[in-house]
This record gives sequence, structure tokens and C-alpha cells, in this order.
Amino acid sequence: MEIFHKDSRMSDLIHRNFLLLPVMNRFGVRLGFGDKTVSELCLDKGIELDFFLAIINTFNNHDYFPEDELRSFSATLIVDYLKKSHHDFLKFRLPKIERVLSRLIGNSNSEDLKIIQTFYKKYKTDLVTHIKDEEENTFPYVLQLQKIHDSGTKQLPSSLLTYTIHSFEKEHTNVDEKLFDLKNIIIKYLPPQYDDVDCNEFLFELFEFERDLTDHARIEDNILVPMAMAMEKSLKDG
Amino acid sequence: MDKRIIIIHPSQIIRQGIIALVRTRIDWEIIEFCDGGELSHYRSIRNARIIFVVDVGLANDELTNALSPFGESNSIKILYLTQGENNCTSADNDCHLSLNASKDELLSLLEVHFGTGSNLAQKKSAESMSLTERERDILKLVALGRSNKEMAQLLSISIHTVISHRKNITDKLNIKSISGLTVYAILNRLIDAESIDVESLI
Repeated sequence: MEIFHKDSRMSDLIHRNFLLLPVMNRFGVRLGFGDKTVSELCLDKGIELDFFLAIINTFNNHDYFPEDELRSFSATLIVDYLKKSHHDFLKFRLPKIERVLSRLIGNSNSEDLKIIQTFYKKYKTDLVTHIKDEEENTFPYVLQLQKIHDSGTKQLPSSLLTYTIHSFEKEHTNVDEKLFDLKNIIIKYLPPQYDDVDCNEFLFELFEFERDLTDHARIEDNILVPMAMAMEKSLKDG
Repeated sequence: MDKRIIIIHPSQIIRQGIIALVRTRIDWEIIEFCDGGELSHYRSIRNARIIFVVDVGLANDELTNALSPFGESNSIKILYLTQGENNCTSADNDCHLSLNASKDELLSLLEVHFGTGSNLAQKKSAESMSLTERERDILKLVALGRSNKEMAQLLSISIHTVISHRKNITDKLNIKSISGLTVYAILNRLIDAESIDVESLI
């Protein structure tokens, strides 16, 4: 599996893996690259090159995960990226899945599909609750930690002493399980009384979304949480 | 278990040559490096059988240290490519393979570690994957939102037995969430969607 470098051409990245496109959009990158390389583009757009490459490569290659390098970036940068991903999920990905699902149901008169829709809605509720909790509690806490840490203060204000990152960040497992179950039930157990093209599209969307979420969760669990823990430790030890 | 080959060799010709030789085995995933420098970026690999194919010239303590973390959650084997003679026994974790070895020798060594039989154990017959009568009873109750304690009382069995049935159901169906199990029960008419409040149970 190849690793993209600063001299790779932006157009090649998309030719190799078109799924990188939405990831790039989160950095404000849009098509029409001409022959620009990654480093030229980042310079133009004021994007932190190493961070961009780390995220792109992590997403492109499931086995690739430069933990130490990713943890060297600021929490602000990582939180900003994670928030943009959330925005992408809520504003574009989920609505798209829903449009496809509505069409699937509209073109069939299967009652079973309505059960699938109910399950999807339940999954979505859980996911949205999880995202909201991160945006309202986890991320502000981490950003505050970073601010105190950067200010050179050696102590945590008493208002934060009672918390740790683990008071906020809950496991992703339960939400992920539902998405897997949803896919698996369609693949194995749903009687095929539907339009194949519609159902394929629905399933493709779910697979793609799951992949995106896995990558997202990997950055939260293995980068952001350990970074917060390290800051907590250094501040609490004074 | 995923099967991965990680090639660490300075020669691009040798790396590409090995890839060409093993390409017919579509379930083997291959990663290649010219040295061990970037290995740490791949430490998230879990539950895989990994064969490192390494240039014998790169063998040193540093490389051994870089490889050993992979052994914690994977089954690993190291194959050193050498100008010298073959020195391989299937039981050993490390072995030396001559660069003069044939394609068949290379493939059979890889196959020994990857195991052609290991997948058979996972392929259970359709019969053993279908739910027993008791498991169907439990699944119905799970779908109706009953707790383990309630189920144990209703069926006059211990909670421990209930939990064990539930684990079997999840393993057989590959469905983990309660919502998912409820959907399965409705789709398979184990419970009647008409007579329950679907919205609240899923």
C-alpha cells in the first residue's frame, strides 16, 4: 500500500483513491489542482503540510497509523479536523444515506424495509447524541486543557481537577455495533423484495460511512484521548 | 485471521519480485519497505498472521525491537532472505530462505505459517449456525426487551445459562446490539411486529 508524500501530485491522490476527496474538503481543499503537489497546495491554502499528509495517509491506508507523529500536533488542530468531520457527517453523509433509504422504501412495498428504517433511525439518534456530547463536553474540555498547558501554568484550575478525559469520552463501541448490525442484517437476513440498484446504493453508503467513522474514531481514541491524558498528567503533577 | 506479508528489503527488484510471486494468493495482504524505519506506523495491526520477509543484512537488535511489538496481538514469523543456504524448520519462528530458492519453496514456507487449515475451523456448517429451540425462545424475550433476570425466571434457568445462550445467539447470527437482534426477530417472524410497539423496542 503506497504512502503519499509532499511531492505527490494532488491529482494522483484522487486518481488512486477517490474516497480521499471528502477528507480533503474538510481542509477546505477543492478540485481543479492542475499539477500542484501536496506541498504546493498546502502552502497556497495555509494548511499544515505534515498534518494534512498524516490524515490523508491514515485514511488511505487502514494499516498506517503514525501515532507518535499525530500526537505531536496541537489538540486545537485535531479538534478542528474532528469537528469538520462531524459537520460533514451530519450535513452531508447522513442526509445522503436517508435520501437513498427513502428511495429504496419508496420503490418497494416491503414492510420489512420499514423495520430497517426504524433501526437506522435508532442508530442515527445514538450517533447524533454521541457527536453532540463530544462537541459540547469533550472537545471544549480538551481545548481548555491545551490552553492552560500552553500558557505555561503548571497547575490545573480547581474547576477542572475533578474531571478527566474519561469522564467525557465514552466508548464508540455501542454506536459502531449498531451500524455493523444494520449492514449485516441487510446482507444476510433481509428478504430481497426491493430494487437491487437501490439496495446496493444504500449498502455502499453504509460501508463508506462506516469506513469514515472507523478512521474518525481511531483519531479520537488513539490520538486525542492520549494527548489529553498526557496534558492532564503534566498539569496535575505540577 | 488476516494474513499479511511485510517485506523489508532495500532492493526494489526483490520486493517487487516477491509480490509478483505471491500475487495469486488474493487473501494475502502485502506491505513493503526498503528498511524498518516506518514499521511503527503499522503497529495498529491486530489479530493477523504476519510474515516478515526481511533482508538478512538488516537483521540487528534495532530491527528485532521494531518487530517484537507486532507479536503481542498477532502471530508472527520472520523469514530472512540470504545468499546462503536454506535453514528452515516449520516449528521455528525465524528461518533463513536462500535467494536461490524456487517459487514453490517460498510459497510453501508462507503457507505453513498462514495455514491452509485454519479457515476450515471457522467455516461452520449451516446447521450448527442455525438457532436451537431454546435460543429462539431467548431471542424472542430479548427482542421484547426482557432483562436477563426476567428471562431466567420465566424459563426457570440460571442467569448464567441465559448469558451463555445470548452469547451463542450473537456468535451464530453475528448481531451484537439488542436493536439488531430485535430487527432479526421481527424479520424472521419470531415476534409479531403488529402486536408490539416497534419504535420503542428497536
